[in-house]
Amino acid sequence: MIADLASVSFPALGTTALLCAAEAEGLPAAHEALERELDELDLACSRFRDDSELVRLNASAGSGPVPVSPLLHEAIEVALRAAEDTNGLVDPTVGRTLRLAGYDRRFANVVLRDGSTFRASYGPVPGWRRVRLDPAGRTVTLDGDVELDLGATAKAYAADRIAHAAAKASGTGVLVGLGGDIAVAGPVPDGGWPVRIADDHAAGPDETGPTVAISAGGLATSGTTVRRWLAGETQLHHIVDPRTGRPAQTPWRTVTVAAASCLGANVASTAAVVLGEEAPAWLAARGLPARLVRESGEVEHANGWPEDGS
Amino acid sequence: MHRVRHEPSPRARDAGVARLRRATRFAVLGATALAGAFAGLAAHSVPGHKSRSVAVRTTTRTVRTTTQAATTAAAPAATTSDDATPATTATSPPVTTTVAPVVTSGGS
Repeated sequence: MIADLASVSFPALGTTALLCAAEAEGLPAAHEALERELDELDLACSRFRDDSELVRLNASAGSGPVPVSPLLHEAIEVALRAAEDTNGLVDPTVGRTLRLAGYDRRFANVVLRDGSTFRASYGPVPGWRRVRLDPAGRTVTLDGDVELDLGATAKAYAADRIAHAAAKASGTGVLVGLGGDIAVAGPVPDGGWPVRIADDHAAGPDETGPTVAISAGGLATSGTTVRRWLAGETQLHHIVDPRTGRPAQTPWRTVTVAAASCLGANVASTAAVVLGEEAPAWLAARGLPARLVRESGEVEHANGWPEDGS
Repeated sequence: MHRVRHEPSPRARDAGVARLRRATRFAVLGATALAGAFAGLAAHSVPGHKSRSVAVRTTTRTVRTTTQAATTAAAPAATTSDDATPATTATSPPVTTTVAPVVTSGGS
């Protein structure tokens, strides 16, 4: 039962931020923690703000070690660990090819561009090993051709951070949703946190989709149907296959994964989209519960994910 | 009017110097003994050595505890800088529910 549940949502990080508190009186403190963390994250990790640390870091590629804030250092460290865990399937050095492909501004402005006259180009992905961190000096060194994009990990990592900070600040259980990335922390409502699965995180209440409950960690959905733009006569999407430097050719429309953290769920769901037909075996080897939807709409489940409507 | 100045004899002068040396020696010994006595008295009346050591350990533990708590609050276990922990750690699968959803997970 979720009798005292309270929630607030607002636009943030180019998507929608949602906060649910298991007890209404905990919402203001949790909300304050959410706003603070989002502001700090955007200033550190945005690829589209002239005053962000990441923009300055990318501009200084090839010039040696650059001192960065603890938050950006941690966000890059997380991105590099994700790359290592996935053997490079989720790689933060896709920034340049994403920019050349047309994702060179906030997404709301990408779709406003006349795509019919836009011609995409691509570049090789340098690879995460071309980024070096110095924890002692808190510096980052990018090789000359490296341009970072932290979109595959920063939002999910933020959801984890914020959920834990908000639960601590409010003393109640919280759920944080940033786009399709969901993290929970603190005491769990009876029956868990109910989450609907859909192609689009902004789907209206009438949209269909199974509802599942989670009690810990996180849940994330990666897909190719929402963040799309036109380049000439071709529809492109934002999940780049680092092996080709181009939007991933995948049989999956969406992949949803549950993991011990939202970050882990998002890294796995993104890797699964990139992997294509090999994804179910890859997820099985890691014991990650997942729901995969093919372009045709056919649904597959892995590692204990419940059947739709069961 | 003339003042009459009496020059001491060498023997009397040597005897005076010897008395002065003995007095100085006794004074030094006495001061040392008194310092030791007061130090012992202070040590017994204020038994601080043992409790101070414990206080230092307690302080250290408190700092470590605080640091761990802060780290846990800022970043969940799966996202700390512990290189041995993979980002993609499994958890229990979700369960089907009939409760109305509070959020939608989908592409963004």
